[in-house]
Amino acid sequence: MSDAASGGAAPDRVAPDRVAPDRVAHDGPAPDVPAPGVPALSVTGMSVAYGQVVAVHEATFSIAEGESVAIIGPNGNGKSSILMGITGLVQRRGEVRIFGAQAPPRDVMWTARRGLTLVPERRQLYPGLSAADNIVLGCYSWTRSVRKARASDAFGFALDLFPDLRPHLGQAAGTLSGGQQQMVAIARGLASNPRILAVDEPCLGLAESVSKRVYEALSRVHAEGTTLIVVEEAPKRALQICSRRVEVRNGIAA
Amino acid sequence: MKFGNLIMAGLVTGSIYAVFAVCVATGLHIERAGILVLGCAVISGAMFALYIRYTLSGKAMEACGENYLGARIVGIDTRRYRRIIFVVTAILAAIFGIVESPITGFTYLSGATISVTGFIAAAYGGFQKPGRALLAGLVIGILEALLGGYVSAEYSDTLLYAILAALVLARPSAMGFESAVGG
Repeated sequence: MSDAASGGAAPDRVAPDRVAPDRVAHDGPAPDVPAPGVPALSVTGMSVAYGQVVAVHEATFSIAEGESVAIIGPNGNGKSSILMGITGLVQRRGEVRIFGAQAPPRDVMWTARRGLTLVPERRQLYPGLSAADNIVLGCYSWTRSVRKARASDAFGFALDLFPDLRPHLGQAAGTLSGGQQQMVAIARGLASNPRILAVDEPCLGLAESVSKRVYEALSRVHAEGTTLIVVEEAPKRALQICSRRVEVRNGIAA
Repeated sequence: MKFGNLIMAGLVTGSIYAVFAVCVATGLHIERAGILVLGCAVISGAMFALYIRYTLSGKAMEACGENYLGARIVGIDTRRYRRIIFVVTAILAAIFGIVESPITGFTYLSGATISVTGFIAAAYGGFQKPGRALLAGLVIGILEALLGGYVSAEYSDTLLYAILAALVLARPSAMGFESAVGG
């Protein structure tokens, strides 16, 4: 991974690319350019159920481009299910629009290509693969070339954000510490060059000092122009970097 | 020619010449069909290793095996990869059926024993480590042939499974089974 480790792009080089709609040379068709004023994410009457249990009931909210929003509420009230429903990881009812385009249900690939990337709760890394491979796979939504992926601004930005990861890039992700794994998960999300980054419980099980660094990184991601959604049980920390909150109680978003 | 292709060509040619050299030097008799089988194993193994190591699509396939949900999150079409694996496995089985048939002699039931041995080799090698699985398959194959030749042709499979089971129980961590045995 020496090329990856040494090929990091400076943040100021990345910034203009990251706010343009088609910032990277996609192998497939580039997403449409949204009309001005169209929300980055619009959720209308979305419900998510697991069998007979309704986790999210008729959630309706929208998020403007460049905004940072905290989805907060007690544990088990449907916060993560909202993100899972939006990204298409679980079956949903209702309408989800990303930059004006209606998201097909259960099509995570479409959501990722459209620019919405999820950093899930408990990271969901590939433990046997190296940290570098985990991050490179974040680029899968826009390229099939390892060379293009490693040379991309998005990959460079992801590595620049977490310089502590560089000595561990060749190490299997499953052998990293919890904090390092969370950094890899966020870096993988950023490698997809997202226009909307949704992070679910970014500090779950992390020490205070590591949590602080994770939030500093998220703050920088938002400052670069990425729309940010943070799901947190404890609102205090999330609201330090988020300008608005969506509260979820018993599956109802308000 | 790409660097990866050169490595693969070198590996294959080198392995085949090495086998010939060993046979000539030691006076061992190896069927020509056996060398064909070995050549096919080296070619397919090297191709698969290069695919996984140097292509994003190969890494995506590995990611599907490592973490299904994690693979879907980055936009990997896991169902497509399942189909690809199923088809490629069938093609490999067909190729090895053809090249093995002059040595072994196949019936419609031959697949069952080979599948069980192959599954054990994959388990010993680690399901996510194709190189180790290939090596484990080679070792188990040699052990099976030795048992058949020197102990009992009729009970070679039974003896093989007994030895492998004893190894797992005696040295689970060394065999890569610690979590399964230790609970």
